[in-house]
Amino acid sequence: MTETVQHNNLYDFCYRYFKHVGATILPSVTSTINVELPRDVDKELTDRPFYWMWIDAMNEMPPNTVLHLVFEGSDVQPKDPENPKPEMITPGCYRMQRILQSAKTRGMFAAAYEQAQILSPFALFIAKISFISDLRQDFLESYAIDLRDFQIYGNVMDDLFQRDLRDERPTAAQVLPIAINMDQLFHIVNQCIELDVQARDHSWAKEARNRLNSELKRLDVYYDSVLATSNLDAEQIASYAAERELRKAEIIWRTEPKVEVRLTQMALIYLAQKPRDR
Amino acid sequence: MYTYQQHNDLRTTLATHGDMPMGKWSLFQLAYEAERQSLSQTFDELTCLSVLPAMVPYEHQVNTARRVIQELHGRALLADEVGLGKTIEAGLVLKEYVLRGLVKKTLILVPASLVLQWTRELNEKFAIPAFAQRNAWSWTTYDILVASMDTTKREPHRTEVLSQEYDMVIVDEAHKLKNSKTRNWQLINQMRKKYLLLLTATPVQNDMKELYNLINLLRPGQLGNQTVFAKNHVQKNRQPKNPEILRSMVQEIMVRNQRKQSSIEFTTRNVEAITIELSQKERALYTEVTEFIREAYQKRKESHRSILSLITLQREICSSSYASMCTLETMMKDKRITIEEQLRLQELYHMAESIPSYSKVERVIELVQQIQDKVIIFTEYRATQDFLLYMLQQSGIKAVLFRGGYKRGKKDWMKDLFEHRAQVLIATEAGGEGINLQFCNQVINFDLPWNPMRIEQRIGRVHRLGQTRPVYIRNFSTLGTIEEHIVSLLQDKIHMFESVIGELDVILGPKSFENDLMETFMTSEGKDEISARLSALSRRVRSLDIERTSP
Repeated sequence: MTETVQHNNLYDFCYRYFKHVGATILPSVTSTINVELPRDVDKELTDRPFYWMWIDAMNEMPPNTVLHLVFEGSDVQPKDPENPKPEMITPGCYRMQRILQSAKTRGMFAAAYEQAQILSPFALFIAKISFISDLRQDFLESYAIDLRDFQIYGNVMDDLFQRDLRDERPTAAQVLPIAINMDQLFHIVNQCIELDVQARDHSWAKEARNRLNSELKRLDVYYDSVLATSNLDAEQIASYAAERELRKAEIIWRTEPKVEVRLTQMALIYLAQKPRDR
Repeated sequence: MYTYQQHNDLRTTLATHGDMPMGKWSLFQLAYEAERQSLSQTFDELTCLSVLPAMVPYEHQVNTARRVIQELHGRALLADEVGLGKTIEAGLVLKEYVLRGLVKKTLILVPASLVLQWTRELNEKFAIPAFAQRNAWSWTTYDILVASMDTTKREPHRTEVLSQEYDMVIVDEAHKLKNSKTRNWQLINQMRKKYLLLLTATPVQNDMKELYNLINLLRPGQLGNQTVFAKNHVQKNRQPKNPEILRSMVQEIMVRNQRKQSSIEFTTRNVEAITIELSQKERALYTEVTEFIREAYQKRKESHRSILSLITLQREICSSSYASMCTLETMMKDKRITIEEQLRLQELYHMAESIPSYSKVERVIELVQQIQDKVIIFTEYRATQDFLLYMLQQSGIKAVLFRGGYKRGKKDWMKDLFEHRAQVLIATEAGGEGINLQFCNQVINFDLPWNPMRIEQRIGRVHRLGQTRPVYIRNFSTLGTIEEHIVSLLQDKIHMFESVIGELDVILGPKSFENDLMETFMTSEGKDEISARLSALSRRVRSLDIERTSP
């Protein structure tokens, strides 16, 4: 996680998360959230599968869980007796990870409409692109495909976040009816991403590849020289050979440059105007 | 140039949703933000620093983590001096890799006494969900596991561990891997692992080959094969050759921070030699034993037999005559000795037996009573340790033992007893490793190891990050014995206790100190010659030191 998660942003993020998943936010003082969780949310935020198995099997109706979350800047002490089990939320803490994961799962797909008379349909894709060797760099990219002419717009999220997109279709709106072939859309976006990746700076991959080659060469020189020693018995030779293969596999595993692409989200959006590239 | 992999799970998931994306735009926005937050944005920055819950690492620790990740590419020997926080550095590296999604399956191998401590620190300081290994199921149940090396190398665990693929393996107290013939070394060598960190303050204790063996685990061939290494870098007497070249090659795989370079303020160390006069009977025994050793030493040298038991005996007689009795007994059973020697040994044994009280032990009791605070007494010998415990208890002083052979639970229990119930902890060398006793600031060296690398391990138990009080070190020195020379050599000539071991150097230092000392004692005529030769020895050590610290 990076500096994009500032501490006060955590509060903001959690507040919006609870609001949008339909949890009941109870009265709370500054920089704290007291929240009552619906059962489906509870299951995603706490790790107690056996408990839920029991509850579901027995048809029990236990009272909803209430979380007392405390954020940085609050003067509530995490061991305040008035406040039974307040929980400090820090970046990367267990609860935060569960909340982020829950948000990712719940927000994987969407359909949204801009508020206008005439709307045209777009398929919006979010992709995570990772450059991996012994280190890793990720990029989050967005692509919108115009469903009428299959033109692709990149980097559209800043623009879209500024528009008034809503879940309900405006009653008076005319929406162009278009048959959608999902496989075709995924194919198009994947091709587009592959070209996009090819066009980037890959000095990182070149460097990793060179390093890999020189490491493999060093291994060869070393093991050749070891195996050339005359006084080895058959067992030793076999064990050196096994060791050599293992070290080789490890170096390739660690160093070989890889690009991994994963689409993380998709939405159908109906827009009044084409998206603008940033 | 790169392999390209495209994951299609979103397509599959969509199909299970009836091939129609449905859902709230507000949640879509949140999910997008959540994805953004879990990116590894650059190759260069350490991202873990902003998410550490309960800790601010020191600058040298952050720099070390950065260097391990960016320059050493995740396989490294972390060889900081004792007390600079190698655990923290390893934790930072692990956390960074976990956050970047490069490491999931991790095995951390530590001495049994440290399993719980490591597990706790990783959870509390780094919010890394680490578990302590408990049974044969643990290996597959948990992603991040802390286990004791001794358990892991035994069946059925060994087979289980060797069948796994580890993204990362961390080995604490890695000097236990110094010998490539041991099961420890072979276990690590056979494991399949991507990243590997070896942690030790003393990568070389006796022999240059130890360093070679450690580095070969990380990167085989970095120092050439064994023959080439021995030819290019080891002189007779185990002295390093071409130190500059060796150093630069080692630096490609090792990080070593020294106290004097780091920005941390340590509390002061006060070192004092406590001189003790032997009683008449003790002196008589000492003279006889030493005489015997000198004669035997010459004979064995001529016939190229091992002098190890002689060194041991010589050191034991300095520790306590009680300790020497065991060795005397074993030597008597040796079939190779002559009748004459046999009789001589028997005589010595009876002399030792008949000593009524020990001046050193009396002094220790006196001191402990004066200090009126927690004290750690270090000795090299179990026999001395047992005897001390008995004598302290006789004087109404509560004391506990600490040994290398103790199991994990017992070590924790002993540490706990010492912290809350007892005044004194009597530890042997092996027991001193890897426990943190910052709540105590008084150390008595009842006897000193002849290997200077191990002295710092002793003091490092108390004089480390987290110690808030000045540390007092008392070295026992019996007048007119070899011990007097040893204390003066280590304390006054090499300044072993004021500065730190690093200056004796890992790379340049592993002259076989023990043998050099023995040679000096055995072949010198009289006190003055010993003094002169030890001065020469210490000058050699110090000149190596200067050579090393100058760029």
